[in-house]
Amino acid sequence: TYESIKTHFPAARIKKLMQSDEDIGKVAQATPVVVGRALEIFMASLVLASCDEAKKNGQRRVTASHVRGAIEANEQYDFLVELVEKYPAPKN
Amino acid sequence: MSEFSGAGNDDLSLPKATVQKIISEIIPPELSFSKDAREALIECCIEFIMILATESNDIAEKEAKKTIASDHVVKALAELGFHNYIEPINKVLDEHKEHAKGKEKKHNKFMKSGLTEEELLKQQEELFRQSRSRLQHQSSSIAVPTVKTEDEDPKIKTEGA
Repeated sequence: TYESIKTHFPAARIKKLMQSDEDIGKVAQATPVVVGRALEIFMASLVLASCDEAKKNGQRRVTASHVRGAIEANEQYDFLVELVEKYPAPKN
Repeated sequence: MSEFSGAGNDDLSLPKATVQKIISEIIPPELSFSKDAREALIECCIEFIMILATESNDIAEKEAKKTIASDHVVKALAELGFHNYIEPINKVLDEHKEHAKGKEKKHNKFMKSGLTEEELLKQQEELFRQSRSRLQHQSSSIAVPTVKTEDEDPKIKTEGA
């Protein structure tokens, strides 16, 4: 699925985001492109996982609580657990 | 690590339209993504970029490199547990290298001539001067000034008589 994503993030914006953290130094020209692609893959997988949560609850509208549910259910998203605590808890 | 606000500061956020387009490309047709889900998604994405950037930076530093390169990002992905991202990323890298090679070929023609830009400019001027004097010489040896005919210079089209 990932290769089929046609929309891409502007490399300049990715670079700006990366370097908004003072600790981050110089980046090579290809680096924001690569980070952007990794981001697209991440986004796709999180969107799909959130959709699964909505489907599990028989809902058609994916909400922030579904996003939170997806994060809590997947080890790969552990780094986000704290961030999503502010969203409504999933209904399970 | 500093906090990044999702809404408001556009510079430290992701373009909403791009995010929306990607969401639309991915979700099954029978579902819709609510506004709060999209905002949550954007926050998660920014966090993802930051941890990836930090890990890549750490790896570059360990290798005593001052610039974060693509392979530092690839190693960071592995380190952070995103092994399944590595194959599609490597494909992007290969495509990017092919593109860069194409550009390099043109650049190398000038680099390999071993001449500086100044010298190349001088050569160009010399060539212009020579062709100008050729033209002047031709027109002076013929009574009526004329444009070169097709046989002499196939690039120049003759005007209708």
